[in-house]
Amino acid sequence: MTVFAPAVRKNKLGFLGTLWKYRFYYWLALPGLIYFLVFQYGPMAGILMAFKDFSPLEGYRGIITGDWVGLANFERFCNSYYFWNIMGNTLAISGLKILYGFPAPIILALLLNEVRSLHFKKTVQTISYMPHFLSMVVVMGILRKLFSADTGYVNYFIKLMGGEEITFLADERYFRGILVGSTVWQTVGWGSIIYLAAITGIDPALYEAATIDGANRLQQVFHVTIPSIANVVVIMLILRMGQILNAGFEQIFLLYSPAVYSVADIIDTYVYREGLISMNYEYATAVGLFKSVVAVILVLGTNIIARRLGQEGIW
Amino acid sequence: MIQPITDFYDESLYPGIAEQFGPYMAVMTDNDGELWGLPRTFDMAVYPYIYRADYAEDVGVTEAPATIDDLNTLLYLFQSEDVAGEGKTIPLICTGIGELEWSLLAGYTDYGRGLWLDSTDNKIKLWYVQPGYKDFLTQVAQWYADGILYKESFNINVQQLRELVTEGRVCSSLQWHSSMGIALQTMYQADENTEAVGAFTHKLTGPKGLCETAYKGSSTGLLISAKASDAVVAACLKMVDLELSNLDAWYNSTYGMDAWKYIEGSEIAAEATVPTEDVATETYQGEYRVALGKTRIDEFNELFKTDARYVESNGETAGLFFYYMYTRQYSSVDDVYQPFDFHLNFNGTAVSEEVPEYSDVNRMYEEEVVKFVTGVRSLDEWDDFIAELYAAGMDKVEDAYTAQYADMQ
Repeated sequence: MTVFAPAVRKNKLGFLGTLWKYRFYYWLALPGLIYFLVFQYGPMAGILMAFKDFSPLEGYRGIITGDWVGLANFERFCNSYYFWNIMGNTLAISGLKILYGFPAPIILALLLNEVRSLHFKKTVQTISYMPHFLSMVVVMGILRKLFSADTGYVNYFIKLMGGEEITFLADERYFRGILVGSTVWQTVGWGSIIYLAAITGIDPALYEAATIDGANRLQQVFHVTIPSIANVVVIMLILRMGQILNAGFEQIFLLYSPAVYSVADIIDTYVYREGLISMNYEYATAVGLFKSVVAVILVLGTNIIARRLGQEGIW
Repeated sequence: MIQPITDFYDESLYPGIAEQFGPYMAVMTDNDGELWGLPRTFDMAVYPYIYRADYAEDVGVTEAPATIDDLNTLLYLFQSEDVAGEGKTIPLICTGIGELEWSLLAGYTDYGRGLWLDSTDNKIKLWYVQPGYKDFLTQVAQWYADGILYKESFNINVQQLRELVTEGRVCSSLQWHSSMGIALQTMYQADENTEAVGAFTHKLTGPKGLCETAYKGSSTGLLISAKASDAVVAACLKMVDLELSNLDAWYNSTYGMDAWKYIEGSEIAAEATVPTEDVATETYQGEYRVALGKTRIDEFNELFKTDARYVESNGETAGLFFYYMYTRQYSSVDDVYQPFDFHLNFNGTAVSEEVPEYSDVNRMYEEEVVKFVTGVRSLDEWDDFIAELYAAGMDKVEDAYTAQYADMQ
């Protein structure tokens, strides 16, 4: 019996031909490409500043003409008296946000998926999304009103109960909790969108099969829903790990004070004070580059671990 | 980016500039004698004790406090009498330990808020390691513990301070003058019949003498682009000189051409003729006024000859009063303590670049001093804190400043 295999057609157009044939698609992608080239790849040339003795008075030329200092700026950061404190704060605050803030949208998505009343579901979604649209300045203003030792609502109730007022925002014991709690509140709704989308993509036949096998709703969540969205969760976790050194500059900068430096001073706030305010731009660039390198290592590492565990990585 | 103006500036050509800022050109001059711009500020006394005179009168105090004991009496009276009502009285407010240091430290130490020379080892040292600093801190900590000093003073900003002032809760401040001054001005402008009356004093004395440290004219100034031609440089100098030597020119650049008039009966005080709410719709918003000084300063000072502890509750007058708080009459550096480094040009930026540990020392100082004030850390550990500062690299900072001092000799 003769088996005929379909002939493989060779691309006769070549690269340029293909480029011309699909030119309209490339033109559509062009603005985005230009944006990334100009604003993401182009500024990478400024990384050179991290290895130079840069003078702001020389302007952009100083990046080229400045004296080469090698790793001196990196050494300065790593030898800083507060290096471990700053790194510890960054990792601790970021770690807490991942610990509490990463599962929260997943749990919300799972719960919303189980809600039968469409009206109630939509209402909860709308309310949970709203904090995402508030600017960080507004959110921090709300927190100040809530936790102020002087006129805060929380302290009002504490005093009503006969307790002593607490300066939450100047107390090391409470500051991180306020940061993490406000972050979870602000991001849980918006973060659940992607998981809800993944859940809606699950084949209903799987649920039917589970029902036939006698699984109740909770068992279906653990045995159908969660495994089905596991790849999305892993990808989001990998991307989130790449941000582990971004503990939330804006949030902390708007709330912190010298009284809570020991638990709240992170890499970004330190760089803001010592690098930008003091116009040590080369130092700020070096610390930024340090963060980026660590982030790349973490993303690569997490991706490898995910693939070893049988999950899809980012690549 | 910028160019020196050494070859362009001549006192004989620009008498207005020379009169206002001539003595302060040194802050804009480098060690090689190059003049890099025009100074915008001069040596001032800008950390007075400002208080609500009406509240003081309510508690029976009609004279500005002269000593720390008087100040304590007044502050505790503010608190006990709850002058603002409903338990919302804030006897004293500031936005950080630095503000208190400028306003008060010289009363407890020999060198005030500045670098000083320790004769025991001939080293230049930072202000918080001088004898007496702990006594200053003890007083501030006592105020904090007793609720005299606003509990959130170390995590509020100036805008939040002003909101509290306009709410009528704040009785007094030890702070940069305009923090409370502008807030009081806002109250006057909002309500001409407001009972709030502002007063101030530079003459507070402590165990070691005058409390307020003189503020040196900073090295922020008017700079000119390196791309500017010679003609442009000369024109800029001419414009600044015109503003500083001609009152009409100053008001034109402040309010806009034909947008102001002299207040009736005055040859020097003026007001805008464009209502404030229309400013946003006008194209000109004072962006051409670059100079902070003004001509005929002495005549303006005569306008407030009473050396007013009290100011009339009048929008215009109060506004001008607080504006001129930093004129030479009311902010004469001769009336306050001039620290050791007042006439020396130490370069903190150079030390920061030379000594990486400087940033760590700064952070440790900012963080720990607040803890001593709020009681999180006991003042019994003060000596331990000093040791921690040296472990963080304070000695290298001192060596760097000492080397600069040696170069100046």
